[in-house]
Amino acid sequence: MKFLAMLAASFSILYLVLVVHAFSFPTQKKAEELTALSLHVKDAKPSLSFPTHEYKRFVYVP
Amino acid sequence: MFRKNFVEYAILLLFKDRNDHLFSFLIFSFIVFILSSVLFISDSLQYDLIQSINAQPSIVVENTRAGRAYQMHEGHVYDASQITGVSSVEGVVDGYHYFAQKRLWFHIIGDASLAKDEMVIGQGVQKAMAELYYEDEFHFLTEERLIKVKINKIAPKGTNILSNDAIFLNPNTARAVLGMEMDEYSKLYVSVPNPNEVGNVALKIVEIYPSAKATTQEDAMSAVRHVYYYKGGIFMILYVIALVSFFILLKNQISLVYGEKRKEIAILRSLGFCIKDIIALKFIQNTVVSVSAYLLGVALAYLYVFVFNAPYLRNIFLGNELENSISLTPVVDLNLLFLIFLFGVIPFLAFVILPAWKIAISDMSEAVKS
Repeated sequence: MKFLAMLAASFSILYLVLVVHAFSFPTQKKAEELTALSLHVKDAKPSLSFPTHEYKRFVYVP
Repeated sequence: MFRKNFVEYAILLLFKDRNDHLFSFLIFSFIVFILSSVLFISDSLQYDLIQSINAQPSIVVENTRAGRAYQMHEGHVYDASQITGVSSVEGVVDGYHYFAQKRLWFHIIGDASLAKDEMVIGQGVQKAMAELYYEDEFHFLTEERLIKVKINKIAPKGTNILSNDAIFLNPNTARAVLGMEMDEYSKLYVSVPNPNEVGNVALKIVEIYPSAKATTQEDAMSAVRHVYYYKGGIFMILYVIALVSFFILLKNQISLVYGEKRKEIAILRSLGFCIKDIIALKFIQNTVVSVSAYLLGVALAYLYVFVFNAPYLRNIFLGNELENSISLTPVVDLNLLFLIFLFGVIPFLAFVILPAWKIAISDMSEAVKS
């Protein structure tokens, strides 16, 4: 039981750190930057750099 | 069945046979890690792209000739603006410039807010240019002449998903770089105020110009969703193959290990453990192993993707010709994680408990004698 309690506590701490990271990420700032860019570039395309177009097909990216 | 002493005994046995369980723990963690990492990257990119598509005009019209992108002119703008329901039509300049010194393609985008001799560049473009000492200005080498443009600003890191390979130029400078005439456009942005009329207007445009492609905002969103949809990817096939191979391997290994432990199981049976108890014992042990492996795999995937920005794996999605220091937005789809749990942990337990049950129901007197 002690082992299970320790295991549960370790995973709880690990996941708590992840949740804190997720909430501390500047999502709002990034969204604002993207929106500001979208006002100039309305038809946005993902910025990809593959050697040829055939590479894109393999990874299913537009 | 799950009394405290019984659970403690199961954990004690787990520690005793830790080498037997270590293999399945590590492999299962790795499979969950890879699967979760790819899905996290895919979800994050999809989230950012969908967000940017929200600002897209109602319809984007592109012209083609012989299957290739072809310029549009004022006639196209006029014809599209005459369609009922259209409030405005804007012609834009967009194309690709080959930077031969580095063998790279830069995405040229017309931006009317910029002066003729200045440009805004993405971070990937900046790095590529800086390697050849283009720090303050860049020389576009075209068929006709050399065009000098001052580097005015670098696009912020948060927009790297869209701007890493982009160069924003005044539309007239962009035309000169792309070798277009002054009255030519790469595509048209058509605004339709009434959302119910968008489909109809798109059809009318294609009727007028059969070689044109009219993409509505809805089409663009469904294309992004379809492209990143996990079921459609070749990765999903690879996962299924990897998972099935792992479970077959696991079943064989567990059968072998439990076969060697026949005597141990026989002793437990003779002490008064029934078949149900033996299965419960194995269930507890393997639940601890599989759930821990799953939680560790998902946590490591999160750290790898959202803290370290997925080195190497990111290149499969974005390409690596141009360095892209993108920061991936933490987007976690709980439904997908539950699906991985359902198709990972449950078969794991099934493949482990079946051999245990088979041995528990066999004749124990023979096992004790040996």
